[in-house]
Amino acid sequence: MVLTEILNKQLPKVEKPGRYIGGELNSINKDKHKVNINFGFAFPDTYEIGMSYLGLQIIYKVLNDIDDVFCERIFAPASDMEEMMRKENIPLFTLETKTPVNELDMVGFTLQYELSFTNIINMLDLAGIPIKSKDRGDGFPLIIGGGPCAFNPEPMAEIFDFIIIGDGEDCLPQICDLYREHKNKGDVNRNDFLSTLLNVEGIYIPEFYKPIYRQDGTIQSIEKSKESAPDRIKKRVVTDLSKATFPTEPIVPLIEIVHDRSVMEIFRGCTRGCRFCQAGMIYRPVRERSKDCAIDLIKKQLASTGYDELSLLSLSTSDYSELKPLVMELMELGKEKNVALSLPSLRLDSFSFEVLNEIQKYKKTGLTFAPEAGTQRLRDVINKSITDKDIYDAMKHAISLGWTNVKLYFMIGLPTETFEDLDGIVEIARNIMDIYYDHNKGRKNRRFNITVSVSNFVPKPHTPFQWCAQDTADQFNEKHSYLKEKIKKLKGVSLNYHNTEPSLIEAYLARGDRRIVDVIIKAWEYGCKFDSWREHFNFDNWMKAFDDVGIDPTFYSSGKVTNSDVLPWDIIDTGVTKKYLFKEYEKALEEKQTHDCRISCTACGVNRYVKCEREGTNG
Amino acid sequence: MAKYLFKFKKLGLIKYISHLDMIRLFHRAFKRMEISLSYSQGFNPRPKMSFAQPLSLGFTSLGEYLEFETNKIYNAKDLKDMLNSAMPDGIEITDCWQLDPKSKSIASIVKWASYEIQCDCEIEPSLVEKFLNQEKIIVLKRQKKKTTMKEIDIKPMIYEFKTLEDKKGMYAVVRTGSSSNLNPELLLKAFFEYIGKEFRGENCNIKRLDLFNSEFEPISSQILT
Repeated sequence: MVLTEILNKQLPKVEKPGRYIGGELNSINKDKHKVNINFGFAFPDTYEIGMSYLGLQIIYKVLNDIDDVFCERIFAPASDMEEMMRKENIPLFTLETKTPVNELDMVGFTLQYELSFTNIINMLDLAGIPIKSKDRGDGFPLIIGGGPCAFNPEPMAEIFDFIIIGDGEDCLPQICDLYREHKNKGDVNRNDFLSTLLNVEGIYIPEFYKPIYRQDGTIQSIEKSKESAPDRIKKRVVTDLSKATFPTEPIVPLIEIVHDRSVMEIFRGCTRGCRFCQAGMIYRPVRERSKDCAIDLIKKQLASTGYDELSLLSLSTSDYSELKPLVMELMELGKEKNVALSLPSLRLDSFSFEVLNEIQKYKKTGLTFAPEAGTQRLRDVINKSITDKDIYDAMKHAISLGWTNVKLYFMIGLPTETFEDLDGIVEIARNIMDIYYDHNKGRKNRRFNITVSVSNFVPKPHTPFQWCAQDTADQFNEKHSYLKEKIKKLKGVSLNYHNTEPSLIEAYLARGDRRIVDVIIKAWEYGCKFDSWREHFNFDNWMKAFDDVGIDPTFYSSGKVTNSDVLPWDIIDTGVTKKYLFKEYEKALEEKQTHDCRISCTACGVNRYVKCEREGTNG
Repeated sequence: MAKYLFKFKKLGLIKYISHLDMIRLFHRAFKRMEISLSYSQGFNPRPKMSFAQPLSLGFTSLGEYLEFETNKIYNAKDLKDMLNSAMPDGIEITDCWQLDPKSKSIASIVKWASYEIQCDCEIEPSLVEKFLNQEKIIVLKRQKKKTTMKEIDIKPMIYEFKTLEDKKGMYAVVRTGSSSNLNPELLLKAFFEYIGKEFRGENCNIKRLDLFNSEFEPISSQILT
């Protein structure tokens, strides 16, 4: 109550106060004193970003569906709010009941991107919770990690009491069951509880392991300090998505957020096997939600929210086996209920055009296309199975249907890349322009725009490119200038590229071992937070932090960190074997593609643990 | 086609969402209840739904009004109940009336608004009297769509301005509407300046009580069929 009153007074002083008030439609309120477990789901970024994340809505429902568990939300306050909170001695609080975070039983942070790590440190500090798990006694909440970046848990390992690897839907209720039992026994000993957790698959308890480093900084071995701890942690997999919990009554934000719409996850995983893509490796195998289940859930969501936009979510929408009937039904539904349909990550085949032309009839918002690399050779290296012909056919189609805005996504700094590959990017843009000129012969005063968007390659753990070095800052900068010069000469084509420095930090953090945590904490002490926000990112502070701790960051980006049989993230078993990843790495260097495993199994290893329902279905 | 008017409250922390957020909130609530609103004609159709008078961010209210048109005829009480089931914490629809479809827009008849302002200090009634007895009450007001400030006399825009019974705040009736509008915060600032005190917004809770027409009659008392 007191905190609510303080907020009532102080909120006019901050920007977008609606971020901090809670009370949205479909948000949940329970009596926090009457439940057994008070859980905080923490998203280490602002409300608008966190609320756009479907995983939050899923976990919120999974936990709140359990009677005696109350899951509340926690977000990172923006800088002005943080300043006010520190000045007024307001601790980090939950959105639902404005409870100080350090009064909860458990706090789960989602690790969505490396550049949010400093926000986690900052949030713990704002909550008055010691940052490293070893400094927390029994009186503090258990601090949990999860999400995609947990697949290399090492950089943040010393922060968390335990880390959930893989899907959380089934794992979290199991944890709650054990916690309830533990609490009812009157046992408040944290260590006892952690030992109990060893019975749950997919849980990594960092303090039970100790990496032994060689002189050169690579890992020689990982020693266990608890014998019953598993040698490797197998990721959790929800096998039947149609039966898994999914939000039918998602929270409807009061203020505008990044993605303000109804979302339906149609499948998890991807069969394409692009070699740079971490999601494509760690979320295997593909698990589809049935069309009927998807439609049923969508209807429920629309009825409970009143959204006028619906988006499908997956790694590659076009690969959904029932896409045609699903989209047809959704277009009908959209017309009937006046709901706009949005289909991201669509492959531009003729069916897609038919659909896009229908749903963007009046307002053509622009097409996006991701060749990722400029030449066929490099696309073979990264296993992106798009050909030049695919690109140009799609563009001809798009232009004839009247699209005037095209966005092309590429990555630079990919393994084996040369300046010829960069020329290829320019070439593709030029050729598309030519297609437009040909098509539009004789007609003037029309604008056609191409945006070439370039991101910097970061070699991610658990991918075939985990053994590759990242380009240096100089190499990236040179490539940026090279492209800038060339694209400047093309009328109607503009270039967007990511800054070099954040991509370097991303690589250091993505590929880090346990020693990196002290750098992250130091960087935070120097003021680093919201590193994914251009206006907050401060490279010099990061470099000072590396310097202070005495770690050479390039050790992690140069590929040296993987010069060993034991990689920092080897403790995590994604189901995909290291042998398979290495074979893929070798094939990449030979410029050979590996086919989609819908055609036939490519032996990645995941089917040792779970059935691949899509395996060989297009064979 | 039918036209209706809601009266609703906005209380608690939800006072921190903006006018645009309120529009989106009601739009979604109608959609959720599958109440089919009429849409404007043209290239970019908009639902026919409008607030009588926007409420500043940070103000609570007991008397907000929303006017809307539907394609079907509904029972007014049903509309109220349906919408209340789709509202977040802090918003409550207290009344719903059906309007004459040809009636003037509510926004155009709103002329006055009453406010209750709670402050954290006691206010001496005689100072208020002295303040109001000035020939002119000049304040600086930001000009619309400009960054420049302009001096204006707000005295004609104040109908009533008096201390609350416990003296820890003010009751005010001031001009409101599209032709002439006085934000109570501006009035408070002028008053505090006059009595030589620093005005601090966070120490005042401003609550709109109701809206009135040019005859000081409540909005709900007229134009209703």
